[in-house]
Amino acid sequence: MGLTSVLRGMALSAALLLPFAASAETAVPAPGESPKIDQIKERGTLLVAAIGEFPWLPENTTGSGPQFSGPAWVLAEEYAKRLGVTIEVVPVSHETKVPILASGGADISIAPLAVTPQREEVVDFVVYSQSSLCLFGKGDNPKLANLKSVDDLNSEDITIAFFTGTPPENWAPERFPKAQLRGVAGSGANAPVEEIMAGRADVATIDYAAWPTLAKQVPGLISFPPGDACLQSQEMKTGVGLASDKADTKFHDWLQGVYDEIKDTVTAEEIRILKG
Amino acid sequence: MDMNFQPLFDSWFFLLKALGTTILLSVLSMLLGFVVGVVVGTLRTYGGRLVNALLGFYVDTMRAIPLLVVLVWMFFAFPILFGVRVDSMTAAVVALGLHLGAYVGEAIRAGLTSVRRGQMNAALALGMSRVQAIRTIILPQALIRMLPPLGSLFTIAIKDSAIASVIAVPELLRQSQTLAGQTFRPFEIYTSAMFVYFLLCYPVARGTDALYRRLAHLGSS
Repeated sequence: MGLTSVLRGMALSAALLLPFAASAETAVPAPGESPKIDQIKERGTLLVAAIGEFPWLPENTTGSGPQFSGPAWVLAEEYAKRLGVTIEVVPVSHETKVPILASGGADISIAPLAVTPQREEVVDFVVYSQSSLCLFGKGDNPKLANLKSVDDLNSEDITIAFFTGTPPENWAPERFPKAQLRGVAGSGANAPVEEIMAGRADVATIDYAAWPTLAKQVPGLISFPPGDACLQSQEMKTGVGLASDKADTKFHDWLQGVYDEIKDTVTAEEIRILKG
Repeated sequence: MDMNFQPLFDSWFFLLKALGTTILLSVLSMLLGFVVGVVVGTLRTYGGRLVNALLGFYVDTMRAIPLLVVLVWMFFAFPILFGVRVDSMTAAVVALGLHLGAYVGEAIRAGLTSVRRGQMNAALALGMSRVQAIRTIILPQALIRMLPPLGSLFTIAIKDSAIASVIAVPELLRQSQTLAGQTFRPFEIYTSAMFVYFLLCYPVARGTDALYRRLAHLGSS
């Protein structure tokens, strides 16, 4: 069982959902119903806060061509098309991808966001994917030699690294009450690989989808759950979505309605990214 | 140690654009900082006690608050307070420029006060106005004397541009982070970025020193 099985499952889900896709297009709220949509139309651009993250919003690093791809980008393009406006990307960091909505710097944040209770207090989500966590460390670390499962990491001599401001920061203390925890500032990466390579932590958290790429790029790492089981990890299983400010519920309802119409296309794009 | 520089070669154009953004951000913030610094330094020297006190408050405030805090405030709080949308590049230029301006102002003030008072008296005796005397006699001499500290400040400005990565200005450090995040090759990418910053800053530092050595005699009085 591995990545292929996961992809087959997602493709089957998309195929089953296809006949049930809404045939009527979600109507754009009339002028006056949604202040946010009125603002977007007047401006002529949809401001989307974005930071690249595999596989939901990979960033193009060749220097030419579209800046982003992935399911989040497919959604953003669809929203802009239906509103008759162009997309304007507002680059954000992991620290600013949620607060930018409150400051009015963006209309939506398509930076892939894990749904957490803390975030749900300040933003509304349109959930388009799922994620879970694995943990990884150096294969030649003697502390990890006899460990077989994620539960085994809950030990006083194990240091676990994660990015501050991300969901593992709240999850790790409850999941690993005995372990040493090390929160580090986000480096823009999917995982604090530097903490492991520099020996400052024994293991670090990573999205399950990013593990195959990491394992290929950096030889000598091991995962918990081990091997392909990481791809079906149930650790911190959560929805992943884009966010809008809580102030305009009509806007959020419209965003959700559009997603519900094209969810098969969105899922297909995620499968394409994972396969590629 | 397993090293792989291929991601750098594959993304050379992406990083080159990022380098361009770093240079643009540095130049714009240096320009703004220099203009602000000359105005602040000159007014503090010749503007009287009240002006000196008010501008002194600005200088002390900027010197007391970390640049990162100023940057984040400009990006998040300023738009909320004043109802204007500020993109990350504009916020970075203004924050870095205003922060740098305080330090440049002090360097300018030190340079102006180092020119002997007799120069001003002589200029006034010849019928020049104070503004003419400052612009044509005092400031040219003072600027030459300020070259070493200004060179240091401009080098710092280039390095400080990397802090703008926090608000996602697509400059060299931020794009290096993006590339390292997608390729999981932090050692190769960050080492290369460090080398590029050295190549940017070293000529500025050495260049201003060389320029000062050539012009120093013109600044003596």
